[in-house]
Amino acid sequence: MFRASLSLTLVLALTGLARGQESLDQIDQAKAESSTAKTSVAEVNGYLDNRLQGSWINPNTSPVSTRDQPALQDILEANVQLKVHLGSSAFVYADLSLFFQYGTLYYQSDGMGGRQGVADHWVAGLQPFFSPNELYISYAPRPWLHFLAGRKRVVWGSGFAFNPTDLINPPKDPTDPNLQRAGAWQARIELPFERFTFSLLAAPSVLYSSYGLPSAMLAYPSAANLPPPASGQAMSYRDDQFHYLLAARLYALIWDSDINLMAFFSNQYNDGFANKLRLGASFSRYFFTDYELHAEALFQQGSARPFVNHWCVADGAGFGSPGCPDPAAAIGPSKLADSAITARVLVGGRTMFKDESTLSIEYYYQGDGDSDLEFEDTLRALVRAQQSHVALPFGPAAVQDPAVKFAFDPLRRHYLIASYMKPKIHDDWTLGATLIAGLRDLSGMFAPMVSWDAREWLTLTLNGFIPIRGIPVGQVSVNGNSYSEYSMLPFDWRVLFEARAFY
Amino acid sequence: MRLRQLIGFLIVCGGIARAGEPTPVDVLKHYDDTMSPKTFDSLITMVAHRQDDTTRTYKFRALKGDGDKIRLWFYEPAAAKGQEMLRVGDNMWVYMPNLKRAIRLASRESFQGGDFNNADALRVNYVADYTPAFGDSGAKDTWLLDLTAKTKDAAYDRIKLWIHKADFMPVKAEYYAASGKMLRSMVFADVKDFHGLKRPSHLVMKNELAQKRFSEMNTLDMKLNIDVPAQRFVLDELGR
Repeated sequence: MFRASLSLTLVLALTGLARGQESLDQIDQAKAESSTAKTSVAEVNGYLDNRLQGSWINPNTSPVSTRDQPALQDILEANVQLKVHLGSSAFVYADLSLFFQYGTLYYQSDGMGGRQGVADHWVAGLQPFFSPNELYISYAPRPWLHFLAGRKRVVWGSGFAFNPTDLINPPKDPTDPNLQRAGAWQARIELPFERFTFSLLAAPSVLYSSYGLPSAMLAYPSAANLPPPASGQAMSYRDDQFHYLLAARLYALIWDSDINLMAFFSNQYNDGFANKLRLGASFSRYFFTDYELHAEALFQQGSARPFVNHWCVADGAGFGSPGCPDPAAAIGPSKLADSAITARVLVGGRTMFKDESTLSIEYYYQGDGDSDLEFEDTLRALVRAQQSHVALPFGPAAVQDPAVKFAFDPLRRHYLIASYMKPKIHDDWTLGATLIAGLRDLSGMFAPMVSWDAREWLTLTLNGFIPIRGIPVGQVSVNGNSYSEYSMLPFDWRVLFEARAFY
Repeated sequence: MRLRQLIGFLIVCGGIARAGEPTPVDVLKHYDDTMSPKTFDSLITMVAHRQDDTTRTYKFRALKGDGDKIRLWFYEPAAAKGQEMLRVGDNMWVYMPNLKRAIRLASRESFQGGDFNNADALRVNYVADYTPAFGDSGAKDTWLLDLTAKTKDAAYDRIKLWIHKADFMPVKAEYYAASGKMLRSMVFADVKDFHGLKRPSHLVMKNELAQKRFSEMNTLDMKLNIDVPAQRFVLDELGR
């Protein structure tokens, strides 16, 4: 934590170098000075953000323990974005956030359909941490040749709320895609030309990190150099392999359309695939003046998603039975070696109405999502694991990353994501709503919001999150309880008030 | 640019010599050359006056390259800093620093929530987008150009543009929807000499659908004949 605080302090101190842009001559002069006099010119901005959220925790809706989920939580984020020009063809960019978190009021099931309080306790996910969202150096020796090394968020797909081809970055929040700023550590070569761009990227996995700062990349350190596991956590899985992703991408602007062709080769990078080739493509274009249409697809053999061993949850069987000797292996990526080609496809559109409100609708098909039987097995496994006090590496969508408000980690195959935004109500107010719906069981999440630009530098936002779980279609019954995908979210409602001050 | 202006002047003079008065296309070409030279680098402020009598001020740099390309960098306010916009032909994108990516824009969308739309700020190529005809200006010293959109992709269905005959400077404009309803009106003022190019430096766009809303755009500086590599105007350059 000391390292994180020190880094942010140094960055804030550097902001003293920052200059404004008062005239073209000053801009040109600053760049000339930086190029010829070996000095650096910095641009700085950022924000201070506070998110206070309250949830009505309902431990009986989910087979996943709610013991570590606070009903009241506050997240304070200090962000600084700094760009330092190193001459006319290179710069260093940093987008750094420091998070402080506090949570209280914990509940768990009382076993009789109600809930009981749990004393405040240490929770790993609520510790302060430093996030170098982006931190890289960029060098362009020629207009058509760019080198980049460091951490950067690179998004090639055209999806608005979700990007199925994004195998590189931490996932974003479909209820507010603005929130996820973090990228991936990488080295990249890019060749931009007038109508097309070619990119090559190599990204190592971050295998260990401490308070958000990576301490091991690409390969696990030898046992002697291994950091001790955090309190309450088991020793991480180790192997002697290289964990990386290589990606190539061709972008072209053809017929007024953005077209991307992508190829990914990865070895245990963010998932269990070994030496796996995946192909992706995306498209985006405006039609009939005002209607933006986009499509994005990823094709792969097999699946890295976790699936349940049916024999661990079938009637008459269970953990420890001959078909399921190891409860810890009840759920795992059992389709890694499947030869069947599966697709993840997102198709959507966006338009702006005459009152300047915008509507975005996207359909997402996850070809390797759970079938009805697999989803039923998943729920049975979660219930049995909870009864047996076995921790499974699996659970319904939950917020793991404090940078986002809602994580989209779909379990099934068909989803609809719709968002509507009406800005400029009395100039400074914006109303909006996002609906994420699983189309197989018609469960979902409804997230309304109202935002007020109180000042040019201050935005206040009130968000609501309401799981839709009451539609009795396609639900799965386990031990007399009916579950759908979003009924498993362990709260009845959540309200989040956010204040963001820019500088 | 002076050579370019001289050629334009000679073309106009040639038209006058032939027919006694330039054609509507000649006048419109002169408007395009004045308001959007072939290449330029400019620093601009926009003040949006809102319904509640408060204002929002934006400051940005606009770089125009050969071949109908323009790129904008926003410096102020703090909430917009880091945003960039790019237009290549009919394609427009905005780079959102919070999204860490660019998304496509429609030409009719509002420019930063003010009273200009994206096409007003990013696309001044009226010769390509509109068919001009002379109308009755109501004054001897001005022409009235009545512009009709060539395609539905144009930002407005019809524009009325008043041009001062003596110096070809635009005076005012009215922008209409297909229904004939006036959406916006603009006044061109404060002609300044920017490195040899005389043009209005102060534009006031009034939103005719809202009583108090209007936006001012002030050109603080404009350099001409800028030599910029084509790579500055590609999508992947945004946010770099």
